[in-house]
Amino acid sequence: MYNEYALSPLTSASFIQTDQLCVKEWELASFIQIDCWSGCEDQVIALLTQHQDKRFLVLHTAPDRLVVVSTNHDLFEELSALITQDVGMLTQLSQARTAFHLSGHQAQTILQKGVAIDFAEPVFPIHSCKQTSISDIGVTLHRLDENTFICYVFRSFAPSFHHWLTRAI
Amino acid sequence: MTRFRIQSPKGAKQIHFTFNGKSYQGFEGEPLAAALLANGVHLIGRSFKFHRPRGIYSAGSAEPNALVTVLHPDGREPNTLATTLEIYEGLEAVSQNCWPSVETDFGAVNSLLSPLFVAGFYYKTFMGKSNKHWMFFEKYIRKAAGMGEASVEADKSVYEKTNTFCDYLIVGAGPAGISAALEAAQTGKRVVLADEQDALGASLIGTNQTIDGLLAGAWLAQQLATLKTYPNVTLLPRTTIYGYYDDNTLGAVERVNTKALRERHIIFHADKVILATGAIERPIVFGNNDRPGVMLASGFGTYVKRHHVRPGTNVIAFTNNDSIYQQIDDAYEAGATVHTVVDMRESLSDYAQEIVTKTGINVQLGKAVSHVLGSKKIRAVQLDDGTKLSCDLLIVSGGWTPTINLQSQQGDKPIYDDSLCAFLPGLPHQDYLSVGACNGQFGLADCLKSGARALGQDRTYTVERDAPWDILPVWEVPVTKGISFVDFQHDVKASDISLAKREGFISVEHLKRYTTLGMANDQGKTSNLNALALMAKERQKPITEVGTTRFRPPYTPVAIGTLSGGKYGDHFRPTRYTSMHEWHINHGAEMINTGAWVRPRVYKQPGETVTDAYIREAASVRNSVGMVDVTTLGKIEVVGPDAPEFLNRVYTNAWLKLPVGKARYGVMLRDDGLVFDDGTTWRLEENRFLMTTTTANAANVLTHLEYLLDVVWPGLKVKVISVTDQWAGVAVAGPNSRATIAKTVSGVDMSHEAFPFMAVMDGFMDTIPVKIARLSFSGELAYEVWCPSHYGLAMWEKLFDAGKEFNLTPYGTEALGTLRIEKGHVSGPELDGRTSLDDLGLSWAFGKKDFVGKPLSQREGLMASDRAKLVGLMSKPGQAIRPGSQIVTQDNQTRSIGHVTSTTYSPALQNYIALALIQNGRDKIGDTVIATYPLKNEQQDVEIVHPHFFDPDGSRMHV
Repeated sequence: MYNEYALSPLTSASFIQTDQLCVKEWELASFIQIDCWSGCEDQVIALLTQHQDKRFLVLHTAPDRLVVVSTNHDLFEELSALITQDVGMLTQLSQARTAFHLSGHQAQTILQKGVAIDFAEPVFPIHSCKQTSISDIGVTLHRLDENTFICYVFRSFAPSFHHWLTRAI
Repeated sequence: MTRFRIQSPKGAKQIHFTFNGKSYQGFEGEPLAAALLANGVHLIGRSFKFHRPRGIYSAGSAEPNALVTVLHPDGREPNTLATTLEIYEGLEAVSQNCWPSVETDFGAVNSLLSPLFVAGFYYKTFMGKSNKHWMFFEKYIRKAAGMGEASVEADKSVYEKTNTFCDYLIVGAGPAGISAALEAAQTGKRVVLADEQDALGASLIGTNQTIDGLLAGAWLAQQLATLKTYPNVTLLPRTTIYGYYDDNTLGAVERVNTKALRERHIIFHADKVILATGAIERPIVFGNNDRPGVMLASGFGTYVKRHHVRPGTNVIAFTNNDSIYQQIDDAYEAGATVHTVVDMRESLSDYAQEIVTKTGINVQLGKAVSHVLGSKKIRAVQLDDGTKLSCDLLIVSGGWTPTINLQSQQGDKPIYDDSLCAFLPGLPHQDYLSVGACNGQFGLADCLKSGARALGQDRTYTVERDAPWDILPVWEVPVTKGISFVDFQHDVKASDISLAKREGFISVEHLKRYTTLGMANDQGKTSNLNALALMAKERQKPITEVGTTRFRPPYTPVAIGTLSGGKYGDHFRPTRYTSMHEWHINHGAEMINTGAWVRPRVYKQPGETVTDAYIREAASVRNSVGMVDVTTLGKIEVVGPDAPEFLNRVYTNAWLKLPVGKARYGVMLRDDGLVFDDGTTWRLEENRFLMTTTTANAANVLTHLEYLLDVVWPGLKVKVISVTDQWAGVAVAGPNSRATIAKTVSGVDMSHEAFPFMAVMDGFMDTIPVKIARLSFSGELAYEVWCPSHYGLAMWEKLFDAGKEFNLTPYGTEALGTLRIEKGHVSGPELDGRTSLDDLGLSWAFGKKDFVGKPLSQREGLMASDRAKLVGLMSKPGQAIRPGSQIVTQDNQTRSIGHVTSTTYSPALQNYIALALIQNGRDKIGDTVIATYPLKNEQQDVEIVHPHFFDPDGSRMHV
């Protein structure tokens, strides 16, 4: 397991918490991309589903592409054993992304300042994700419930994204 | 209270404002135009070309005349409509296009010369065979004409952008829009009702018409209260929909007008759009119809009914239709009277007759206003029979023009309706419906009904005092005195239309451009149809054959700040930071932007210049050890069983036999055979490679690889994933680099034998997992050390501490460039998209196997013997060489044979050196040529040398 030297790009950032909005960093232990070979996606999803024990979330970010996310567990070794190279390839991106957790009634309003995404639930269901960009920063937008979202952004852009978020609020 | 103020607005706060430096009182939130009229001010500004006095012509965004400049503490905003500008305490507004004052404007001499200033005057007069004349006169013409003056100060207002999705977007909250919203609300779907006015209701406000037994105002209040109870309905006053784009996407500006936020730029994404945009009243063209005191009847009605201001006390009305009687009746009820109506029709409708009888107005039937008298304010009108009637206000109605700008923006071709004297929307190109006055339903009952019908509801409203539609199609009164204007804002006269026709500009598109009709910032809202009618008359054709032009966004002007939506300054574009950024800042680094990344340029010590600093840093690397942050290099994982084959096709050199734990330098070409990018790629596992790219090209390379896999070789089992952000990287270079790393890393034998050149090893730095590759960009013994990004700072600090005993020096991009130029390594300036492998001296990397770009790399143009080749340049001692200098020979100093790509001072060679691309350069080694920089008028002799200035056999990096 990694150690005390870890430093988030948001270490010195300040976040907001009001009745209407709570923004914080969602510390990632795992952000593992699985690229499935053609025709193997269902098999990979089945393997993950069988293995699922609420330690991680699975995002379907593109055709043949899944992402496993966890805040508590470094799952790379474990998933490497589960997802063999004949069905797909794993890539460790746990330190390539920084996650912003937005919740509250204002969350949608804030996000709509950055993305042209319809937040109506039939269009953007809970537990689904959208690949988009906010202020020219690539974002994987993950909906946890009606008013709770995770924005996964490239680590190097995290301070800029925080800057945008602060202004949008 | 002045004699022009009928009553104070309920609950409104009295405030002070200034206009042209004079202080006035008004009520917070009322339009500046209303406040000025309440204070008896009619002269607002001067016209565009002739500097004619202009007043307030209307009461909304169609206003052509009453443009003012608003002064802010930190700048000014020109061309602001007094008719829509809501006043506030301390507002300062001034007239524009006048000097020294609006009352006495020297530019008004242009008015005397107006017979000369016909359409096309400037082009005819100032353009000769060459453009010299025009270039000379243009600045004077622009100074004399024009609108307000833009502020040179930065706009400090705050703007934002947002997206709104809805099922129904209803544009316009007049009767049709309100009735549509009432039906849409009941569907439970998301409804937005937007209107440019600060109050919703439009013509329903203040009228004495009744709807279902209620006064229209009361009915409106009731319906708005009902709409507010629906959680699915959003009401947006002060919101102008300015543009209608594809996929039912519409741009809007919401005027928030608070200190925290001035305007919000809203992008609507609507499932269905209902356009209830109403209609704009038309002027009639007659002599001096532009004078202050001439006003559209609807404007008069708005000021009286809504703002409780009487624009005149001695009012005459001039019309060709019935709608003006509605305004007269409403105004009468509100306390403002009209004493005479000049009606061009021969008889009155029952509706008009009833109002005439009720209000006791004098009616002049079958007559017209020939011209008005007075300059800065009208004092009388003269009728076509010679009768003079004194007045201080003339209200005019020439009919109504449906507001079909948004439909037209969509490509909807309008259809002319003779009975309505108006263009109506044609076939819609997207999922929208036009309802109400914009669709030709001018009566209140029809408006209400059409709004409901848009939602499929057949609802009937009972309306009393609804004006019938009766219009005499008269557009112009033959001019006997004065100038009759068609387009007020651009000073286009009726005679200009005739001239355009005589000179052959009969197409509406030519007419528009030749006369500039409709091209001012009001887009000809009040002028277009009159102009078309006049051209139709000139051509003796029906209006429908003359046609109309297409409207373009924006419907009303939008501030650049609003369009930016807050994306300026620090927010203009995002910045990328490495894990070690704070350390660099804390250690005196001067940072530089390289693409989106911010990198240390140099670490200045006290008293040092940039040059001093990079020379010191580069020398330290050569003499002992230095370290540089290389996190910004592009990093792409290439994974899968076919990864070696893929790399073998992408790179020019061979990759199939690269063993695990080794790295290799590779060059990739574009399809056209020119060099695309270079870098090292490491084989981490049997099926996993880590490719590095240049910082600037990382995204392009990834796109290129994805294209190849998706389109060219979809059968290869390979995936490519950007891992740039996963890794933090440090290059440690110099004779003491090995010793420095050995002090900090465990689990790796750092000896030359165990860790040879181009080897890649895994180890630990304390508990931090690291990958170390023995590579060299500097030409020294060097290593790149990589770790997961969160540990980047810790890794950097550990290496820095370990190197202290060797005087380790952190270095920036300047020294990085110096070291690579000394070694003759190519980088961005040489990989400029025009160079081939051979040009850059990289022919050794040209493999026998096939690779991307190989066929075209051997085309004639790339094999030519006179192509520019990479060489070095050595200057005379102490003479810097400018990058970008052109290379010429003593024999021919007018023809460039190449250019300088990269330059530096070399601490190793104690001289300025450069890399250059020179025609047939390799055959010229030893020649002296001239590096010339014409922009600075500089020239110097330089010697062409081999590009590998330092340690050409590479012995220093193989120790």
